[in-house]
Amino acid sequence: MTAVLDPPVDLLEDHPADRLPDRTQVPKVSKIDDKPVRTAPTRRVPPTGITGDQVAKAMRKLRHTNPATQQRVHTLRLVMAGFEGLTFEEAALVLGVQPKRLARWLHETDSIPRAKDSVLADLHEMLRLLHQLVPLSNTGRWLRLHVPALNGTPLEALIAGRIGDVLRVTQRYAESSFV
Amino acid sequence: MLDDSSPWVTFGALRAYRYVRFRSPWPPDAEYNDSSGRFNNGIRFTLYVADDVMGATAEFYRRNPEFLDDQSIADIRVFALDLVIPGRCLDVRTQAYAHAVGVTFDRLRSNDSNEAVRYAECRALAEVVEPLGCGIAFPSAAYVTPSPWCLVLFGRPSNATWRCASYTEIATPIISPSEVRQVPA
Repeated sequence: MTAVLDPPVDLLEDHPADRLPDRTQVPKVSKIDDKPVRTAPTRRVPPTGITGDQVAKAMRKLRHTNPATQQRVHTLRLVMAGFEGLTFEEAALVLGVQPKRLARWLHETDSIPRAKDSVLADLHEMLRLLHQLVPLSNTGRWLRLHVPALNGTPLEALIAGRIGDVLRVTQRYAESSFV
Repeated sequence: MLDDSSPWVTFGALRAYRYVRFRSPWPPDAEYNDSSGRFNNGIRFTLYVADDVMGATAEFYRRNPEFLDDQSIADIRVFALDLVIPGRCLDVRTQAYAHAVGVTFDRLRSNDSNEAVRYAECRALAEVVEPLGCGIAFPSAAYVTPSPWCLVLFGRPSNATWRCASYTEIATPIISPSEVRQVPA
């Protein structure tokens, strides 16, 4: 049995591509004020097959092009490199974040909140001053050393959020006058 | 009051010692306006040196006692500075000299927990000496051997006051914790 289409479809006569605008045409320009003729805005339709998660991920990537965001990632990587001798979990505790989230920050699949700017800047400065006195390879030992001025170890103070106190200790290391 | 009869000393050539961090951005003979020093006020440029290597090393551990028990964690470098000091310095290295200028000897190596109290007399003395001389020779507060002493030099180096002719790095000694008088926490 032969199927009969009603109305009959002739694919060659009514192909969708025939309805697309001709890209070779230039926009019409008014002769009076030389302004381009306004045309109806094109409705933005997301391509089929893209999920909301993928759009959110793309937006996050887009945010990473922001210089401030890039600076945060750069500073975080410097801080992590300076924490030689700490486990990843200990570094996450110091930064006040779950290890999985810290991993996402480092892989740039999640953005670092602006609220972390101050902590990152202080940790970076602390490590910069520390490494003028303590070699990088001894960082872990120093972080576990009892410092009288901190009433404990720098690691304990950092985990307790006393970054300012630890920074002051490393600032004191830069002073060499006799007391 | 200080005058020409006060115990001034002219060292001429003097070899003295000081420590710096292993990655210090400054050369060992650089004067600086550190506000935390015994004779500093945050404005005055100073250079502190000790009369021997152990004294210079003890000064580091006095400030930073956390490194005393394991001296391999921090990396300090000790330098011998060959100083030329034609200018006169006030000499308060002994009890008699300190008494002669009206300062209690113990206050020159004071160890109060309050920093403002600890350095009050020393900073007041520096204010008086700076216009009249180029430094103060004083007893060490850090090293506990019988009579170690230190020297603080004021201002920028010059041919008339003091200058460092050269400096040489020497091996950093290990110091016994019992030989260091620590700053109270």
